[in-house]
Amino acid sequence: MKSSKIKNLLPVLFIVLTFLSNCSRQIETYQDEKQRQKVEKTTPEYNATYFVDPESKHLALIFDIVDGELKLADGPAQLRPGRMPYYSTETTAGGFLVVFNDAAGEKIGQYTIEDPRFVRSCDFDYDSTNVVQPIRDGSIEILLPYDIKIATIVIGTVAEKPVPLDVSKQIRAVVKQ
Amino acid sequence: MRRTFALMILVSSCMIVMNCFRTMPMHDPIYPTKGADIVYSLDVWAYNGVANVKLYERVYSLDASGSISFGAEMLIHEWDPPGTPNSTTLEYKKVGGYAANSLIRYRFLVKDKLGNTRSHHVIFAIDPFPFTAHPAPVYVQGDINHVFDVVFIPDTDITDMAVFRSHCRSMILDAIFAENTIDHWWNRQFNFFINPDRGTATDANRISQDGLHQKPANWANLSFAEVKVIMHQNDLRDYAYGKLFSTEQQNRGTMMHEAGHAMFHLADEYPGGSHWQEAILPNNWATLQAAQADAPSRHKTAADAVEIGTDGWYKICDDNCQMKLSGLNLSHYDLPCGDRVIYCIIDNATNP
Repeated sequence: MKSSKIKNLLPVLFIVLTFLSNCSRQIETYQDEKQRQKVEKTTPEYNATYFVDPESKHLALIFDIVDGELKLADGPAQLRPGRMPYYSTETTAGGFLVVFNDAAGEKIGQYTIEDPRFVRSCDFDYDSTNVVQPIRDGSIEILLPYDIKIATIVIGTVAEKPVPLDVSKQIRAVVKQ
Repeated sequence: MRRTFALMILVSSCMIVMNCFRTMPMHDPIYPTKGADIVYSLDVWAYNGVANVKLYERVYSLDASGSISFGAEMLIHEWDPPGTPNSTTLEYKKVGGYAANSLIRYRFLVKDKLGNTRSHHVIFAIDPFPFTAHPAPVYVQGDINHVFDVVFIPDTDITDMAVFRSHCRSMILDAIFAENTIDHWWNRQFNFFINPDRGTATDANRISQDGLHQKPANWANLSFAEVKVIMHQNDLRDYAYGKLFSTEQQNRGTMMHEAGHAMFHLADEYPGGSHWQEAILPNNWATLQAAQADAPSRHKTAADAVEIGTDGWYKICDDNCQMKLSGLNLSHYDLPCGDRVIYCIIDNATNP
């Protein structure tokens, strides 16, 4: 090929490469925009009466921590306004799993959280030791959807192989209230 | 001929994103008292230039029983920015504010040169807010079940509530909305509230003496929120406990680090931290091989996979990632964490 032809092709090549690069960026932005529009369309407007809506509620089971051990409190579960917050429903490696089952042992749902038996300090301005500390004495709560079919829960890390815990008394008590 | 062809394809590529806007509405003060002046502002970017912006307001009257009456939406200001700039910031001062027991819904309607529009609204409460057992909505945009909800809880050590509220506004604007992944793009997927009851944060090094964080009296009414943060003014070694964490009120870095845990289930990226591996778009991996294998699909290379100290967990984010840092200054989530942030925003909105 003659060098003059190559010289002629260079501007065309430049235009094509610029176009492809521009096009790729535009398509990415366009896809982001479409995704955002879809999400915004799926999200209803804020409802000012959300907290007084009787259909919008969830449950909290209270556990006492005594000498580092979790003990289900005797009282009824608490009825809380609004739905449960967003949780990861994936089974994570190393995470703390909450599984809730019906009376027949069928899984109704699950989510994972950071291990609630520990406090975690990521504040390095003062100290970077003892970042994760076990709670010796205190109480924690495990949230559940408002579902009167829930009879047992399984809580703990996968490695601990936790066993089902009967919570039907606590759930029944709150339903009666 | 070639020139014409090149011009045509360049023009057509530009037309692909003909309807593209980024908007950031804000009001100041964030939780105004009755009768106080309010400044509305809009930071806007439009691919095709900002041709016209309208600001509307709608007033809701509330009473403690939960009944609400809705006023009509009214146009209160209009701009025609000269030269149809791609980005601009607009402000309007509402003198005399609003009555007590009101919720205000303001909406910016932006039109570009081609006539495409974007509407972005925000709702906020006027102090006093009649539902005294519930957190006051100070910047809410979407249904609670579909967006991330953040409740700012004043500590008992706060001596100036005006300063506290100013920090709440900065936590919205200069922390959460300043995060690159969220910025003007996903900012509609967040709600913010200020709690009427106070909590008391304790120091992580003094839990055996002072006990755990003391929750506010209306704690049961905050259960719906992904983020519950006690903001204090005394210097403490902050910590998270259950779904509650603490921070100095000026610490944007701590806010975003802890928000990374609370909203997006991001794990720590520093040695000695809290580690786990999410099944979808994790930022920690249980093995080096898994981190190396995922890296190319997460904006990184296998060489970026490193052990977190000697914890036996692995990461691919760089050392400036917010999940490695906390404290006063904001950093940013590195791209692998950003993937997870966007995934959670979409998942929360579409699978409430």
